[in-house]
Amino acid sequence: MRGFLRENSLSIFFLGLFLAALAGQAIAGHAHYNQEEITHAKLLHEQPETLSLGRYVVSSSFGQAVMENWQSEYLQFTLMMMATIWLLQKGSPESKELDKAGRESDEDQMVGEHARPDSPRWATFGDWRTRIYENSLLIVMGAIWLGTWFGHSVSGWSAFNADQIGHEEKGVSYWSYIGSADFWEATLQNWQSEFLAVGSMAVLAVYLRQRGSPESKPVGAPHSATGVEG
Amino acid sequence: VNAVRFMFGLYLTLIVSGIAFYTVIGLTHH
Repeated sequence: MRGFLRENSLSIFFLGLFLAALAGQAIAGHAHYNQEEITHAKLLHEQPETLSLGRYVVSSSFGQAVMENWQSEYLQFTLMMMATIWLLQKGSPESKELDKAGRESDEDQMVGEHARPDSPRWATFGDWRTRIYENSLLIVMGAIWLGTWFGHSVSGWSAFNADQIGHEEKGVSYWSYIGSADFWEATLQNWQSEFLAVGSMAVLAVYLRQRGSPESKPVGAPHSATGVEG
Repeated sequence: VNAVRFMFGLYLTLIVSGIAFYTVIGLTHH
């Protein structure tokens, strides 16, 4: 048990933080939703249609808030993984060494005939299975990004239409929601922050250090050291 | 099961079920 906790402490820590923050989001989001509903109903001289917490967590309003943030995080990791195959930042531990841009040789990547006895089986085949396996992290992270973005779009559409009907206006089609300011404002406000955070991390880590963190170069590594050589 | 595989499966299951859940809710106009 102790071994399990220690060997998986990073993923357990973030799983715990995720669940706690999600629960907090549900509680705060529920309170906010009901406050808005009460204010809205007062203005229209109607009875407010407040929701229970249980009903709120299965609403498209909560679903949209969750999916909207998921999609931008997965886009961030997917893009970073794709960009760092070819693009470089001299002096950054986030970048590869300057002469390693690209997909690298089979030898460097230990695939096909260069696989070791303990390499994953699909790395050893050298055929279509290796082509899939060598891109599997990007494929899965990219699929999660597209899945969450689709989830964001349909729950946002549903929440938008519920709001329209509340204002005695007509609902819109899915495709017109996809072209709406509501959808793109939500999408881009999440993207811009991710892009800034990723770009600044790559650049700040050229000159700044965190002792003991694999996100940083060793404290005494020169500013010019790029990638794992640092 | 191997503990690391368990964490791998747990994360993937969480993500895939979260996406499926809120996609269905969005599509059924809740």
